[in-house]
Amino acid sequence: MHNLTDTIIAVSSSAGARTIIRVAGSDAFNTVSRLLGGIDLSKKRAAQNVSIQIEDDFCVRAILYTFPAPASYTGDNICELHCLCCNEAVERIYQKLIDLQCVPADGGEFTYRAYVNGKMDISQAEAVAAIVSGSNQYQIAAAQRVLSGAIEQTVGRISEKILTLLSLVEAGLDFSEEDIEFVSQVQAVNETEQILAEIEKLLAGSISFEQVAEADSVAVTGTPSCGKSSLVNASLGFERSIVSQTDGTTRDVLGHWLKLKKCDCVLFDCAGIGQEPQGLLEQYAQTATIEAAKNACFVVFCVDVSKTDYKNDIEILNFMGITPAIFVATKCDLLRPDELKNKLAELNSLFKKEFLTTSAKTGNSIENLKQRIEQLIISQRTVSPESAEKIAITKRHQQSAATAADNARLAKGELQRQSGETAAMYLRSAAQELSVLSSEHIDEAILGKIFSSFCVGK
Amino acid sequence: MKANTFDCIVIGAGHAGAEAAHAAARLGAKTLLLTMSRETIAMASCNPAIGGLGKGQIAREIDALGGLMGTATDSAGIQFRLLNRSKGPAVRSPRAQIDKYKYSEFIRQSLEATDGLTIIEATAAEILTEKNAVTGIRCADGSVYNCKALIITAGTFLRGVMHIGSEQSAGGRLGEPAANALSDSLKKLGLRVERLKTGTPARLDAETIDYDKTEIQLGDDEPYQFSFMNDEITQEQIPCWTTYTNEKIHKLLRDNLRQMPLYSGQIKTTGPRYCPSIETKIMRFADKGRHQVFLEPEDAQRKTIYCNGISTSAPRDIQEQMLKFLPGTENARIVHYAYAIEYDYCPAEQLKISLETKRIAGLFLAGQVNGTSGYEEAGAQGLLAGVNAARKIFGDEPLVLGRDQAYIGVMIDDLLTRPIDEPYRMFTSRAEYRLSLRSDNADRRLTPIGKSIGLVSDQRCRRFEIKTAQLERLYNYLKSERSKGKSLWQQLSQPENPLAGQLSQLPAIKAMSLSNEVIDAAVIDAKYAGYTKKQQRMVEKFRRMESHKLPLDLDYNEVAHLRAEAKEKLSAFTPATLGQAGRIGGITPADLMVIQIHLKKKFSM
Repeated sequence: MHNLTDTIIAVSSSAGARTIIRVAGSDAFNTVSRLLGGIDLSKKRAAQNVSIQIEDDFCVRAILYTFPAPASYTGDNICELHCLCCNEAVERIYQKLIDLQCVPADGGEFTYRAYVNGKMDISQAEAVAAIVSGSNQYQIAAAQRVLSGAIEQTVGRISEKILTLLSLVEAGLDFSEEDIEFVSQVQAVNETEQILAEIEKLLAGSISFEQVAEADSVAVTGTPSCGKSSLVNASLGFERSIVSQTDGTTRDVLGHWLKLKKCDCVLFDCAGIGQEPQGLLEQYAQTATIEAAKNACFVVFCVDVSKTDYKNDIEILNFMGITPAIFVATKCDLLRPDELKNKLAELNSLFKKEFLTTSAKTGNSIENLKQRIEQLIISQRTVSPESAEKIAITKRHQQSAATAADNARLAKGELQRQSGETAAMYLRSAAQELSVLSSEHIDEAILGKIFSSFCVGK
Repeated sequence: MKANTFDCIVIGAGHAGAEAAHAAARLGAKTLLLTMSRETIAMASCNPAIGGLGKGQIAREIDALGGLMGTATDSAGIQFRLLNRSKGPAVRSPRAQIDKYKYSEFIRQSLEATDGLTIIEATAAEILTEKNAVTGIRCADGSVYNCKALIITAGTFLRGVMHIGSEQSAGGRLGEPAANALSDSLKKLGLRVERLKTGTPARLDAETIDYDKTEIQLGDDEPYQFSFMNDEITQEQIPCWTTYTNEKIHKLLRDNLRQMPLYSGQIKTTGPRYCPSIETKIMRFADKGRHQVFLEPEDAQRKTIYCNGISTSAPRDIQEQMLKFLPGTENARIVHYAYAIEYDYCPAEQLKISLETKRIAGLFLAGQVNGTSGYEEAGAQGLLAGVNAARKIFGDEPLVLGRDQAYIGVMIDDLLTRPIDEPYRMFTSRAEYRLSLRSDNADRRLTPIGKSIGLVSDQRCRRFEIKTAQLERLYNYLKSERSKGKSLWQQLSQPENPLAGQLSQLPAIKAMSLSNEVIDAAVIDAKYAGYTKKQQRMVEKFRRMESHKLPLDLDYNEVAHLRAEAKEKLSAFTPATLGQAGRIGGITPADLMVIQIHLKKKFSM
């Protein structure tokens, strides 16, 4: 639940050279003033040049816009720092503001405030409510598909471990009259160490739902066994989906985080679309593929160049009713150079498209493909309201896991001192922090996303 | 005012009823307490003990608010122990074995000495109402008493059925009749009534026990008093004894499981998990070779012994055989047999936070009728119901204690927001702000509230003021006096700092001539200061959500876009605040957002 008395902060994704740090709340002017060494912000000014001291010998310049309540977007006092500096410096400024008691905004929190403060009408808010209330099950399902439930499973497992340990510690307090040792000190400390290690592992290696849901998505499609999964694996640099010779191995839409040089995206490895789906499972997989492809920013269409007949590929392309942005010829390594040249000419005339040649086996042209994907993402990207609060959302979740880790660390210290009641307090906090990430609160995460998308004109 | 007309009537004089009648009368309501028998006022129907983990905190809270339980326990206690002494002060709880007759006597005398309180022996039969508001009560003998507020504290008496093996008999307690008419009356008024089960073990003739075969359990050398009104406990302490069940007993019970109502299907309702019968213990924990049994005296004269740990629904002959196998009780004479009891209760989501029923104005419920277990839980509800009945009569807002203020607040909030499938018992782990809700600071949390509503005596006020002034002096000294670059307060806040143990020996502190209670309070406060500060944000969030009131007549089916599950749950519980709504199982933050938007829309039009 949003707290309207917090001073909240969000960083808009850097589009071009300028990054905007937005601070809103009754204390926004004071906080930003303290960041800027105490300059007076009470007088209304459209814009002013400011410099932000990051370290003793390092300061960056920014343009400050102040919007006093109630005439601002949210109805609160708002400060906007338009920074013309590198991401690392933005990161440092952000951290300084967090240290000054700013709270990372939930997705859509600006919009929520706008609504509560009467800056937005009820129909917009109700539209939000409709989606919030879970009537839009598809989004949840899609998000779960994207993540393959991996994060939820991990978080669920860690939460479960914490709760188990917590219950043992609590039992030692509430049932100390029983002649039972519920958990020994050594066991409890060990268990806490394991929990801590797992949270740290999670922090180091996972992506959260918001990232995936808000990131640009790229769907990789094609006929069964045309080499999509191998191509995706080669792009990612490691084995992710099961690859086999059998048709239709990829039974579902698998999403993978692809790190590119200037941006990231989610690569959907879509199930192959056969002509006649056999059984419910295959039918479901095909529906999911088409949905994923339609929802993606663009589609990469793969054709196995080593085949002799491309009839199926053309049929499927028509069946999907989507115009792919990138056409890829796979398994090029199976052909001699002269054969390949002929085949490519044939493909070009059949599909009226330029084909990118790739081979997952030899890694040939994978870098080219990644570059093409990156170019397309950047060219399609606009400063959309959806992405305005993207970094903050990610940070909040990172912060939750980091706070959970901090709490687990503190709990360990208390357990070493045999102080069960204070250890329990920290373990409880750790579990609560993790529940922010788990599926139980996925409704709230979606709410955040929706409110973000109402940041119209901001 | 007519002789049979009162402001407030309390039905039942158990631990809830006694506190309710006392509180209502203290607040100035002309009060009638109806009991089946004067001799059993505030009788310990089960365990002859007050307090315990979580419960001891409640008993201290009742005392801090001006209730009876604390002083009665100090007066009737025969063995005092502070539990969790080796653990943190936040989870330390006082517990005392009591002489149950002396306890009852003390409470009866206190009630008789309370101005504006009348006690009558009668059996209530029918709640009288007009337009969904209470007007009085009709007794079994036909007499009618009128009132503005009625508090039902009927314990296990509502349609009580006792089981000893296959024997079943109606009754609220051994040797006392059940209150079936009253239960029917509640149903007729439209209240939902369900069943719960509990049980009590056998009582033995103390002189027939061979104590040489048992282990002795003594009370504390320095007994810790329950009441903030007392400085020390001076009476003689009496030991308890422990013994253990064995494989012979387990086999006996296993072989005769079909004769146990709990396993034969004769009892269908659930009993408490935290207080299982011996047959449940051996079935659920089959690998445990022995179970501890406490032999606890029920009175200072040591006439009878309560066998804590072997409550059962077994038939008489099996009970006799079991005791023959139990070391120490081989030749014991059974004074009365163990029995299981099933009784009616009203699921507490039918209550407002004041403990008044949502359906019938002026009708309050407290204690086991709300599905709780335990004297302390009952007493605390009784006290609040008494206070709120009186406040309603005088047109005041109800007294509400938050989860951040008292275990009592935690309990009432739990009862109102979650369905139970066993009698509700307090544990310290239920209190998320446990480090602040301690037995040592119950007075500082609640006595000012008790004072402001007029419940606490002038004498208690004065004691509290003296303590507060002493504490303030000590605080100022600890925060201003520095050594090793740190204030004494900061040093006390460090884990395992030796200063805590030496504080009372410092010359400057000796000169202040403070009570031990005050020095302990400062040490404990300092110990937890850092931790409670970290919880402050949570507490603030909690308070904010509680301050957001929800209309009780809100039709959740009308709330656009609310999920069906949420509609169903919220309609059943009709929470009073947004915070309460969020604590109902299955309600998500998103649901709360939807409700907020709905309310904004409704009230802006």
